[in-house]
Amino acid sequence: MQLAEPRAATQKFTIGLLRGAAGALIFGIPMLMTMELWFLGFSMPRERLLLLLLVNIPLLVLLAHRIGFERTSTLREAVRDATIAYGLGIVTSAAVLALLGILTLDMPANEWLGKVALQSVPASIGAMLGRSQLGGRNDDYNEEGEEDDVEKDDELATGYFGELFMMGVGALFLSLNVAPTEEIILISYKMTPWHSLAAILVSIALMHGFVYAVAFRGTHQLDERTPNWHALVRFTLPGYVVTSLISLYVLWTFGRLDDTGWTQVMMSTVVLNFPGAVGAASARLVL
Amino acid sequence: MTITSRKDHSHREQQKPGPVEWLSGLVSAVLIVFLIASMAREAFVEDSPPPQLEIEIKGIEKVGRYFRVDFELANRSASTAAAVHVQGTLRREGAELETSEVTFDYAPAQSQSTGGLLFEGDPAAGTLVIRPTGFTEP
Repeated sequence: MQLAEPRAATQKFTIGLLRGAAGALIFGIPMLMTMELWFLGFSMPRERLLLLLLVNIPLLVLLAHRIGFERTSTLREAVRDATIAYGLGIVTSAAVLALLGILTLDMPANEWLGKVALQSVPASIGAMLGRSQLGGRNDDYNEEGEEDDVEKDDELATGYFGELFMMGVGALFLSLNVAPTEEIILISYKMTPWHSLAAILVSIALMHGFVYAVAFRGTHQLDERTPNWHALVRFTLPGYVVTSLISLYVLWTFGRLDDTGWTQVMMSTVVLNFPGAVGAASARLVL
Repeated sequence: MTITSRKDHSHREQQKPGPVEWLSGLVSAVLIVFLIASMAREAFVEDSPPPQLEIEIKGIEKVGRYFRVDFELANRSASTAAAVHVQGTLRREGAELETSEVTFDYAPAQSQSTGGLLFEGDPAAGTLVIRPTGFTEP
């Protein structure tokens, strides 16, 4: 038993790595196969790409702290898991782009770097989610058995800003999927202000409904005495604002806001908020 | 604060929210009302006249074999134009020396886009006219 333990630990870690790579694939493939993202990889302003790569680090650390490859309790472990997820994101992105013939040997090195770097952000979030969402039931119980002395109860408290952060991650993830495509700006050109008014209200209603009304696994319950509008004001409306900020950031990163009039900025934000709101709401259920 | 149970993965909102939650809620509500109000203003007040396209030459530079003319395409209207064709004609003493063309995918409403046209002859030596020649609705 004593001798078998390191081997078992290595095996567990390898399984964790493979799940991470699987997650990077599942969540990353839609973006790895999007033409606009290949072009953005070498054409987008370098300082914006750098900022996105840097923003991804604290995001992964916080996410690792919450879900992680292992259930992390210390900052060091969270940083380690975030590093592994980022690494998996880079390796998976490079491998898939090379497989699809998008990275070729006659390309300059900075084109390789740009394309892989941009794709590694969603892929690394996918790697992180892969571990938490693809984890088998059985070893979850085992883990809980092992960690009984560490965690006294089976409840996990999320602070208010933790909850908003989760919504931000969900919104970012879905936004990254659709924001680079030309469709987002084309839709915002086609929509009238009436359409966008409807889109705002529908997005907020969806966000609220996903979390509180539809009885998904992971649905949020309210105290019986708490009126429904309390949760709307405390969680859903701030969630929509967080989603809007994420949309603005993502649109700016991909250069969709440059030299653009204020009305157009609002319109494309509202359009991107629609998938963003769905992402934010599902993050609250899933994570 | 939200309490998540590891057993059935359910979430329960805390009964006594702190003032931060209400404050964030209030600020968010104000921002969203502002967003909705701006959209409503667009819907009620603004009419959408057809795109109004203008071109301003920003600079001429000789790069390699060609002269590159940088220009800015501005759309001053509240409607977006798509597939905007821009043609540059270089004339000297009435004779048309050469023309160059470029197409912009979009000229967004109340926004600017930049582009360039390439010429073999020096545009400074003759008369250069750059104008939009057509567009479609997106």
